[in-house]
Amino acid sequence: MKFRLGKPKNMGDTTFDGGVNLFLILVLLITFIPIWYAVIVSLTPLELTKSQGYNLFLPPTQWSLEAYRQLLGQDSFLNALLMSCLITGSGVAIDMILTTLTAYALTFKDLPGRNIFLTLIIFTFLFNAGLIPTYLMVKNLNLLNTIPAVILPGAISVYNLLVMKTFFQNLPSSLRESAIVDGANEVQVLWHIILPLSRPILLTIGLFYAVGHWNDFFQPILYLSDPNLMPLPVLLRNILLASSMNDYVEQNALFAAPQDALKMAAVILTMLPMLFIYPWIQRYFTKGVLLGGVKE
Amino acid sequence: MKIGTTTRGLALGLCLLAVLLGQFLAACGGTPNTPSNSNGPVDLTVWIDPAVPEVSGPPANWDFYTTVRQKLNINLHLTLLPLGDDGNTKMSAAAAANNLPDLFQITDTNLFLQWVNLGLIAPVDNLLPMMPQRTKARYSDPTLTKLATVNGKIYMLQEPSSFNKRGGVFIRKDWLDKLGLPMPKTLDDLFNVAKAFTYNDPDGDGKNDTYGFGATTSSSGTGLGAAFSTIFGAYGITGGWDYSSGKAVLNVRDPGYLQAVDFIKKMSDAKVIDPNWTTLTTNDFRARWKQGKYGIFPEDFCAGICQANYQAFDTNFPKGVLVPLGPIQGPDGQASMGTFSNVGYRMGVSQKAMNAGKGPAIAKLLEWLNSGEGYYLAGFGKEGTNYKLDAQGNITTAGVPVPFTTHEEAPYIQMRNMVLNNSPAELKVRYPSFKTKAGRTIDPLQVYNTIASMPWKDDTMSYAIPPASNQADINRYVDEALVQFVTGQKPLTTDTWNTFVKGLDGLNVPDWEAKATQTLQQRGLLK
Amino acid sequence: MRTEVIPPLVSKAETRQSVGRTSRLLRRIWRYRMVYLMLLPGIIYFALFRYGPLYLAQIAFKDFQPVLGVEASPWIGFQNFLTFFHSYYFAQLLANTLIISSAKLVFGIPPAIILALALSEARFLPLARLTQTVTYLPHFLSWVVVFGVLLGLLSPDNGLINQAVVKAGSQPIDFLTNPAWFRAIIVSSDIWKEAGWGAIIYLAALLSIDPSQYEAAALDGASRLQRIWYISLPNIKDVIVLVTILRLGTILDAGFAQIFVLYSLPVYSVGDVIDTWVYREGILNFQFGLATAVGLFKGAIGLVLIVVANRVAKRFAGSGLY
Repeated sequence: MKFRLGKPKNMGDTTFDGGVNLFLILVLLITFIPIWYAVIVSLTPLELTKSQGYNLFLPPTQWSLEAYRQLLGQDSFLNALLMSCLITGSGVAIDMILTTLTAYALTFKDLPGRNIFLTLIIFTFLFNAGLIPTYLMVKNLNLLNTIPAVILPGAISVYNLLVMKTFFQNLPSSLRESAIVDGANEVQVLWHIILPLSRPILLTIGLFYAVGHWNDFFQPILYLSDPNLMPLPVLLRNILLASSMNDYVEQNALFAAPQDALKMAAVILTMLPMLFIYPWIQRYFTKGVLLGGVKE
Repeated sequence: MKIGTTTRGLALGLCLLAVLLGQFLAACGGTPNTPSNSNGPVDLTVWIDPAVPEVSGPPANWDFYTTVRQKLNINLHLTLLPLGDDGNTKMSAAAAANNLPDLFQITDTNLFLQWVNLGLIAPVDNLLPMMPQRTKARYSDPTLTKLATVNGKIYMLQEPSSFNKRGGVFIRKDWLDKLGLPMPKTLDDLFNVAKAFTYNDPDGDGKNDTYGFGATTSSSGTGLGAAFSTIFGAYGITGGWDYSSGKAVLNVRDPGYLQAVDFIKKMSDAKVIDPNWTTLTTNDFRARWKQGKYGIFPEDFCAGICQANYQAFDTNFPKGVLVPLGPIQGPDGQASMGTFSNVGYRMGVSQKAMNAGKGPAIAKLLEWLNSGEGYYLAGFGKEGTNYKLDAQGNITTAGVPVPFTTHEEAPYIQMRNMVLNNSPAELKVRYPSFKTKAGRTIDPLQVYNTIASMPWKDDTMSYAIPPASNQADINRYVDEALVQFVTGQKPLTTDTWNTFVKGLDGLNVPDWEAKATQTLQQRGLLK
Repeated sequence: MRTEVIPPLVSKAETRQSVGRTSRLLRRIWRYRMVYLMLLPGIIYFALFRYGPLYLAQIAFKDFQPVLGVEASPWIGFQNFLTFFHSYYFAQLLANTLIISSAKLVFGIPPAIILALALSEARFLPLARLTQTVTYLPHFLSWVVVFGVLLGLLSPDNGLINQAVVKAGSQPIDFLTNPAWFRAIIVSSDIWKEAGWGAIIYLAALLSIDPSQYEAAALDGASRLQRIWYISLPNIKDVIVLVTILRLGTILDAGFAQIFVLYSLPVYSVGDVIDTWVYREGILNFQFGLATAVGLFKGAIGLVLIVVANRVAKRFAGSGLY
């Protein structure tokens, strides 16, 4: 059994721990049951979903991977997966470089013009030009139907930027000062000292960006025309919406609408990569910070 | 602490960033637009709704593209629009940037008409003679031509739809038989049967889990949707507009409308309609009748009894029988299944494309797709692999390795809606008959013909009515009030109804009606 | 000829001072040259993708015609704004937006903080890790999917919750179509979906607190709850203030994606918000000038709120956005 912060010290501590654990279990259940429902639906044999509603506790003997098999067997699915990885990977890289550099640069309180920059940046947080002006801008830059069109317009989230800036500001200034005294320039300070100590926030913000890119269907729909550039969420959205469209989809003998199991399977598959990355990143959250860098 | 020289590192990083960006900018670039007076192939961008939305589009190396380039000297750039509003938003954004594709499917008439008024759409009069066979086959209906004409010029490539009375009402004949009831013919019959279906356990499972009537709200236009058209038809109300006075007037003003709403409210009060009907998506609604919850329900004929869609129901209820319900007679003997229109597939050409001289290329492509090689390739795939022609020249899928009806082949026939012509031979292969689990034969085309032979009203000209500037608010006002009346949120009396109708004035509806009348008269559709 | 010495307007001492000030400024700029270099990519981004489109957002004041382009389209002043203000449902839209947004703010932030606290205080790590992983999952589900799940829970027919209600002897409740319940469902489903995700920010901040502070307090005899109150919370105060102020700035965004999927005709009166209206009337109806105008209006209101909130936060909590 792994314990953090040592063993409980007294009765008060133990009841407190018990309370915390109880609370966590409650939260776990409330969050989990609806998700479990989605998993159950995705695992029901395609036949069964047609016959009755779902109950929560489908016995494992009736599980079937048919929906997943149908999905993964499509070439288009794998292509979409590849595009999603490309967009998310390059998106996160660009976003993080831009955000980190800008956030750190803005922590210098006596940088001439800092307040002007901050005001201008926060102004854009409130005043979003909107769908069409942004689209027109992308067109003017000749980026239509290219991958950068999907990544660049939202590259820096002001929210993430400010959060990161706040985090950097809360690190002790003595760290930087002693490095400067040792002869480093600002960039070296950032790279060698600040960034290694900022793992939690970097990973958090990186995760925020990654999820944003991974789930985004609207920007690809808007900016991309080539069917081979479409990432996973676009395909997923079409699968989820397909049978609801009465007017536009020709109802003919050939294709039955995607059943619920297929839809849920598509949803679960979209979630899985994030699910795998997270435990790996989570390790860094629980490590202690500021190990002996500062002598008070 | 060792400190390296990372200033260079930062500069290197920035350079890398620039290189990355540059690469992206250069690679997978936007759609090129070569002028057509060079002898190279003409680039055509074509945006259409996919025939099968839940699979992706054709791969980049699709040999159809090669064929088109070789035979027609055209570089075809096909884009499949996302479904519903997303697709309209994508087209609108392109329109706003004056960047509409060369040839595209018209998915929203109102938007399209706005673009015509903004000068973004090219008239296609000069294209019609360039594709004589296609024009003769698809663009020669006088009413449709009137519809496609704005200010004396034709802007839409408007195909007719002969296959347009698809929305029927199905009833569980096996339940009728079990309860010993005759087929309902009047409104009173309908109500009593619905009650029996709800409370008398027609499926014999001992549970109170059935409803007489199931429905779902539809999203276009005003009103409670197509689900209740038979009931409105029984009171002489069809569609949203009434032209009997020589002017265009909203049907909600007709006293019959109130009577129909009252009847529906009666059904809702008696709890014979599924109470979820206002929130169900079409998909949920379909799942429910397949689970045997509904005795009577409106449904597109193919969504109901084509093989792929019927399978689920058949598995659950091998003895179940779905029969199209005949038109219901109202107190004055009136009956109607609702409205139909002749409006079929429609396409537009952007002014930009016409200015770049791409008209002839577009006409060439469309003519090639009309019949023969293009028709078969885009609609069904390759002969021998995806389909075969039998002795009479009809299309069959017997004995081919990858029939065009499979999901495998689906990405390659996404363009089929552009080429299909609803000929009887074509329909036979698109809607084949099949045997149910119990050995019954179902012929979808026969069911369609049954439904089509019932009384319907031709409402093609309503398509010409321009939307009001506050159309969304009008739709909401009417739809919201109707739902509130029917579900009992608001009491339904003559007074409350009159107040509701009077409230239309506050939304400038009379102006809209006047404008509608004027437009229809101008275009020769209303005498 | 006698040379007249014309006394300068500024005394020699003052000139030296101002030259000194300027040269100090120049020197500071030079000293920070690396920082400016770091700032450069961000500036380019904001110029291109934020201010560029804002320039093009002038279509809010124009009758936008694509063939003419943005600059050549005719001016119509504030007409688009007036169309919005005078539209039939304006008052209701504004009220719904503010009510739903405020409710999400007030009821949404505390659960995220409490969850983060619980996670950071948990000694039994496997449980904490599991809870954390599970609670942040709903954030990945699209609202389309969550709607399906909610229907399974809340449907008056055979939803899980209503099955329990019926067993207890009362009438089933139509959660999603009853105006009395709809807003509560919006707020609570939003909390369900986002609390775990929102807790990540607070958790990251909590984990960066120097453990020695806790040890010192423990030695002084503080209980666990007291340590939370006097150490954990004050240390993440800045983050809480930041998040609150930022959310105030976007208070007129009530969560379009969620409401669009969950709402339906019977609950328009309590659920239709500015963004859903703009979507129907502005985007789907090709009235982009109108849509942009409403966007600018929302920004203006948000700006006022943020400035006020920032002042208040600085006065009472000691820190703000800056």
